[in-house]
Amino acid sequence: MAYEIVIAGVGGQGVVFMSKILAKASEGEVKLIANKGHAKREGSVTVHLKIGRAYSPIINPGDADMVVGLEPLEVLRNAHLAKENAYFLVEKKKVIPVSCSLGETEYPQDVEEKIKRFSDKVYFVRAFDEDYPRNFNIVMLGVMASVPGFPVPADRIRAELEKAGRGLGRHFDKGIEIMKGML
Amino acid sequence: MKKIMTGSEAIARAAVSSGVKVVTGYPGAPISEIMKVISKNTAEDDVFLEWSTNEKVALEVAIGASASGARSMCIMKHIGLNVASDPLNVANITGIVGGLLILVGSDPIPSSSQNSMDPRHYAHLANIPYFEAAGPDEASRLVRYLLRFSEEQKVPVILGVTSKVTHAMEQVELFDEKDDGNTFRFDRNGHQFVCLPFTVKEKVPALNHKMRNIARSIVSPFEGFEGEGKTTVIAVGFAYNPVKEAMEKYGFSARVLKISRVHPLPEQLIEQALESSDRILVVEERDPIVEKEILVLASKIGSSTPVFGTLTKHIPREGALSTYKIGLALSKIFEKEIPEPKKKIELIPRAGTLCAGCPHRSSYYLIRKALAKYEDAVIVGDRGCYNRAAAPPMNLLDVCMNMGSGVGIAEGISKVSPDQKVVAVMGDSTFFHSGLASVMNAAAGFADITVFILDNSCTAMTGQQPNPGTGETVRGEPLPRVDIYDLLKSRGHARVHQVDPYDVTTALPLVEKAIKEPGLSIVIMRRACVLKSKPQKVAKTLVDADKCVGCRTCIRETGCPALVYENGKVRIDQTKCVSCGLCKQTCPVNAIGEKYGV
Repeated sequence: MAYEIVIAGVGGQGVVFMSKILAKASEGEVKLIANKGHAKREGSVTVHLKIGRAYSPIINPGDADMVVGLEPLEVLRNAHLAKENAYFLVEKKKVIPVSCSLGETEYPQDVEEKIKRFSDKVYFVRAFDEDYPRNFNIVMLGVMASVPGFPVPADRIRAELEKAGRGLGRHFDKGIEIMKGML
Repeated sequence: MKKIMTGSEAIARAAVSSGVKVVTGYPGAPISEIMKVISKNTAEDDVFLEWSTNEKVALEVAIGASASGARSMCIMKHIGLNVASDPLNVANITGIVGGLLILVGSDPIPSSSQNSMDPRHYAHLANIPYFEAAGPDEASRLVRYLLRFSEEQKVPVILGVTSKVTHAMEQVELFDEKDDGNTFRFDRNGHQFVCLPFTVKEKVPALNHKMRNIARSIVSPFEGFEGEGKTTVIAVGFAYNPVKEAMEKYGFSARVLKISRVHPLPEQLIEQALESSDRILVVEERDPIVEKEILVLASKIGSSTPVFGTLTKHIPREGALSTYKIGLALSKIFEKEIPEPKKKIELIPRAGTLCAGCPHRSSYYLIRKALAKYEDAVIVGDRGCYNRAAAPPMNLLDVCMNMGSGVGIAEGISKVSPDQKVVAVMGDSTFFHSGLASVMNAAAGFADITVFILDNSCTAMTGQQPNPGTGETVRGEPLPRVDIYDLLKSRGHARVHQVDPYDVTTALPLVEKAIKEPGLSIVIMRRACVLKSKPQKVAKTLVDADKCVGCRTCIRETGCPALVYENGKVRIDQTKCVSCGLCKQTCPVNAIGEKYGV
């Protein structure tokens, strides 16, 4: 059985980059599908990743072992994909859609509470750092790699990140550090 | 050796290692990334690459190369195949020389297109082979197989993919051998490429005979039976994956006939399935094309095996296929319940918007300001990032149809409704694609419209690919650019203006003048795409919280994603803001200012 991961976020946050690093770092069979229709333009972006033997890259509702989100509302949008007691790793910083800023729609108040109803293993983290706004997706990779039973070894992810060549290893290590106190 | 890669990379690498010499196309999801991968893996002398002005031209360039003996690939999305159908329906009967592969990406949902048209119908219209890939690795093997197949059969071949192939990643087997580079020459003997009534008479029966022969005698390595059982599921293209998954997940046992060749169908295999099954389920995404062909074949051989599929409503015709949808079809056939999947929670949507600092935002601000005094003005859009203006908060566009359609439609409206101001908006790439012809038409036809060409110097929406106005090749080599303003100088009776949309103060009077003048006026709004060349940020745009009254005029007027309303005030997200200065000009209390030296 494959280990199934959903990564969700907002266009421009680096969801697709994260998933490609994980796919490259994993050994053996892997399937990935990026739903990135309007990437970079503030729209919802989701990636499905199956590590291990699988036919289709698309994750069916109720099958995901892990749901990772760079934005809380985007996690809730994909929460139905998680199996019971899946890991939820959620960045706390909200990205407010323009429609909310205009008062046409309202950003739901109780997103965190609603996510918690899906599992006992929900972790809210603060990976976002105003000083390094572009790298918090890498921090999130460190958070993911810390989860017990995560199928891709941390050193292989770090090696892939270094190959990407932007001194990304330290942001990854920051994620591991964040999760140390939480698990 | 295997390597993890996307379907786009797999297709690109397979094409290069299979000796492709010319790759042309027009970008669009889900096939926009392929050209870039080829440009990274080849040199200028090896492979000629071109994002052509439109799909028709792209296919014609590829046909020319193929006619001279070179293997060629032409890339487009399903809608582009409509544009290219003119040369397609001649190249089918002339036949080709070097392998010619037409790669067509389609969008069954649709998630980034104006329709979900099933391009496989063209296989029957042009009567040429059409294959569908089940995943990145198969797409790679198909590219190699089909370039040779096309060359052997002397006929263009289409390979169909969706984002489930190009945007997917898996382990892909790499090819070791590579074809060497020959020099090619157009052979001037004979009438192969001359299509006139006296030469065509023999060409049509020859094509029909060739296709009959493929249907009857060729089974490709991408088709075949798996498993045992009296129920056969015929899975077409990508559908193979969810079919296998549904059988495993819900515990159904059946024989599977995997099919990649949609046209001409491998008739031996289909007949075998009809003769040895109690019932057949055909699973294909969108229209029941294979299913209908199977019914025709069944009737021909006198088979009474029931065939289920889209026509019998076992498989839905609209939207993307899923494991559950296929599970439901199997559940009907086997009369065994399956569990319902967890439901998606209804939440506010997060729609895509124009980027912070996008020059289109300023252009629309200007157009809206200038149109404010005209009641009932009509704004006709076109295909590109600027069609985001149809969504809130702008709600600007009244029409948005196919590539290059805006000016023609605007002309039609203006001819019958002279009291309404009619404005057409299109981008530079759309202008070069097919907009130029409609602008010339409007100039000749005395249309009373204002045309805004939002020139951001690239094909922005699909990934900032170059077009004739960019001034560079696919490989990034500099080229003299075609300047739209210069081009439109021989403009008949039209008036042509050019403005910088960031410079609202200078541009507004010109835009107002252009809209006011009778007849055809053209305004080129020229400013590079922020994703292509990010403006140097010399100042930080900030909201003075003491002055801000929280009226949100700035957000309403611009819809800029860098403006965030929190606790009754607006603040600017500095990670997004490029200091274009537009919001500053909308603030009624002058609360937005710039701080220099950042």
